[in-house]
Amino acid sequence: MRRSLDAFARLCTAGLSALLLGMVTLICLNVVLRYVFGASLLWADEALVFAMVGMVFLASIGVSRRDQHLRMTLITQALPDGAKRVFSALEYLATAGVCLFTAWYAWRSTLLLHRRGTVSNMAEIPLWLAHGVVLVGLVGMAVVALVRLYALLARKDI
Amino acid sequence: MFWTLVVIPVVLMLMGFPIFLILLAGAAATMVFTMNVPLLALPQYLFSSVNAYALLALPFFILAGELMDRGGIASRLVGLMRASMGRVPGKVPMTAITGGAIFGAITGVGAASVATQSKIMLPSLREDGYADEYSSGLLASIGAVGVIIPPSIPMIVYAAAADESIPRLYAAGIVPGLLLVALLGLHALWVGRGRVIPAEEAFSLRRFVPALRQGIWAAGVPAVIIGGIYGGIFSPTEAAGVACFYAFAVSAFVMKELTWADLLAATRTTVSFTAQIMIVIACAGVFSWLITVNQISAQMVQAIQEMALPGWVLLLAINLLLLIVGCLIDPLSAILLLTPLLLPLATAVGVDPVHFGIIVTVNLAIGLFTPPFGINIFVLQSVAKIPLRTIYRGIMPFVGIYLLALMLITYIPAISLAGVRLLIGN
Amino acid sequence: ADYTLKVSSPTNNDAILQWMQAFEARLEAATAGAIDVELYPANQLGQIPATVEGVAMGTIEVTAPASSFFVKYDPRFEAFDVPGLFDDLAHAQRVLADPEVLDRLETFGADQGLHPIAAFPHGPLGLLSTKGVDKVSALQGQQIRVAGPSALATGPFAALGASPVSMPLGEVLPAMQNGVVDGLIAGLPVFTTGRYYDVAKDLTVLPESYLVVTAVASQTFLDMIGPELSEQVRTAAREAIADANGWNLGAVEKVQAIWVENGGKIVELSAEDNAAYLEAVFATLPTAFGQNPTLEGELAFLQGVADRHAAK
Ligand code: NA
Ligand code: NA
Repeated sequence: MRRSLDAFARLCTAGLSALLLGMVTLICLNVVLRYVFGASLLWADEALVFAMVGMVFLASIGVSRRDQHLRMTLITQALPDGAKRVFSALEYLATAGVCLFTAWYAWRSTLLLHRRGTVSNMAEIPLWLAHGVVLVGLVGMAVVALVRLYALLARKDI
Repeated sequence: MFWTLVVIPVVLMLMGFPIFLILLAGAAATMVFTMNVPLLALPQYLFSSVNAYALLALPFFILAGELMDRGGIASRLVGLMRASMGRVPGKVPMTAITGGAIFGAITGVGAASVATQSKIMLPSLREDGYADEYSSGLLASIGAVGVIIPPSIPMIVYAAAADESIPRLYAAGIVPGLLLVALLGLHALWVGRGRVIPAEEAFSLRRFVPALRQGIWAAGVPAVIIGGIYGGIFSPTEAAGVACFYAFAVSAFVMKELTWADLLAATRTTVSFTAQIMIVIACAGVFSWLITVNQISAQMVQAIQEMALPGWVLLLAINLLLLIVGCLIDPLSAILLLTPLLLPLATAVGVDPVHFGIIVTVNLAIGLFTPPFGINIFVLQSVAKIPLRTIYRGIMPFVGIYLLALMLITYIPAISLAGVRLLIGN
Repeated sequence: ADYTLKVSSPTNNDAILQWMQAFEARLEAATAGAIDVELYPANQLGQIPATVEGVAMGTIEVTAPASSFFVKYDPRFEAFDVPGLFDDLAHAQRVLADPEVLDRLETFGADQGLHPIAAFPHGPLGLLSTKGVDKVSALQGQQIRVAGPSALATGPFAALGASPVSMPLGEVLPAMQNGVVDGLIAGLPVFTTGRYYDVAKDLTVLPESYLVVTAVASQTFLDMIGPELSEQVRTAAREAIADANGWNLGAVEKVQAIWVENGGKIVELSAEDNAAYLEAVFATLPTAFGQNPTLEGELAFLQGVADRHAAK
């Protein structure tokens, strides 16, 4: 279980790295096209920004998985282990709850955009696809939190 | 609303919950319990807060910093700076400040500057025995110089909100930016006083020439970027992408220090940092939207207006309000929200709109590195892995320096307007 | 108030703000305060595409940007982008305020949750370039920022030898200053409110080209408030058009005067060059009709109304 999860995570990381390198290539390509050939890809700006948004929400799942979210641990780091465990359990519960609650509305808006078939202004990217990354990111972070919660309660190491 | 917008977030923050979760929970609770708005707004504003061209420079500059760090460009740049500054006290922090000023002339996004600078400068600061507390304060606050020295995204947004001219604001930002650089430099001299710099560090051509030969390609990074922007080849955002390409090409093919493994590690780290920082920006965007539609800042402005204060006190009150708002919501939303409300008050007491734009920019630049939600703090926390407690303590003296500069800039209009008269006229 | 109606616009101190203010006053009076109108000019509720999405999803009640931002929601909106329809600003105002046009417009975007409630011209379109464009041949080799990727937006400039470039509006002015791009096309008021005279002087007025604003309400919101209040929203929106138009008639001359006062120059092309420019526009129409099958019919309809309102 753990090994296949790790493999999947590595695959996602590689995909996001490739996406970032693709973004660098596209923005440089646009400079070259404009400067050398006097023409530029009109869809590039919008596509770059959508790619960045996708990168953020998809990579957030990995950030959750590696427990790298930014936080302020001024007070909690001084707490005894028992209290730390209680706070952690509350945090996982809250993360799953808030993310799933928001994901429900993200699902509805993604579905709405899919049904309407709206596309973006310049690059004509389907908006449901662009907005759908929010849904995937939220669900992914909720799943990570639930797995953590289970591990904490069952005193297992996942 | 006070409960959901203030109490819940503060409690969750003290409990050590992730920042993005605090903001999202507070926003969701506000919308569910105190407002009558469609909850579809929640995911929609999560999306559109990061669906912004202005943010695109951030991942690119983080990647450029990673590549420069791993490929040997950073160490050569620092070596060159050290060799050229000889036995100047506080020369490493001064190098960081100079780098910050140069970076400020490149990019209009403060956070990008912090990401790159901390990658490049932190090792040298540590090597020279500067405490992380000082270094983190320096590095977190250095990014704020970047939005005051043109180009500057906040100034572009202010120009749009105030119907002002971007070139005028840019011209006005130069002297205040240099003033800050000078104040930070004096502070670095003072911090570095009494430090013994070994005699062999003294400036000599025998040291400088090899450093220059070694660092000539590395020096090309700022040269190519600044030359490209001011030579009209690319925009500041595109410059960030070109910087990545240049850093990769030079360190992989000319200096031959960057391996494919390094490249992959750099992209992996960049993706992770970008997500850590921008998921917070996304959730802060929903929070800002709630503050907008509940007209909370409008009420604060009205409270100030009703006090009928004399001119100089009014300016002080406006500064205070901007500082508070700047600590709570992101600078661009703050500018859009507050400019139309505050500008009439300021012009009524005879403040020039361009001068006011600089006041607003400096205020919100301070908000970039002040607790609790200063984005540069989070960047430093994620890129440099310095504990938040250390960063908070280190920041305090720098808040003082910036406040001093803010007061000078507020009450001496010439600091801002001299540049306009010189470069544009009337 | 029972309901809050948030109105978003991208700009400030222009005809859109006049329309918003008139709409607020009229609607609040007509509904005796049942609807509280809140105005958010200058992108306070987000960038234009986000506000359009917001209206489509029902999180913003009304947004009033240029009509071209709705083309991806309903291709029929593109008809307003075709130059050559209106003789002058007053003519454009008369045509767009015609109930027949507004009734037809109201059906646009129905399957996307959109409900257009008003339309009016923002002003003539201008081309500002650091290199200056005093005749169409001067466009050769210039990098011009255009508003969209459609054949209609890019085709005429490409045909005249310019390179159409895409760039966020906020980046254009610094980019012109550094020479990354040479110029941009926008409504005349944008050039003075944005103080573009600091980077370029020669502002060329494009012949028979007008920026049209469409105010669009959220269908979700109209359904929620019920038929009576909904009718009052639509009535107030239409009545406010006259207020905005009245204010705007003198405003365009004022804009041009401000431009000249600040050292700028208003460039009018010669009759020949105007004809050459329009020729280039009309030459792209077949491609535009190919890209957008609704365009030809909508254009014919607008042309019919325009002919009826033409100065005799
Ligand atoms: Na800058
Ligand atoms: Na109102």
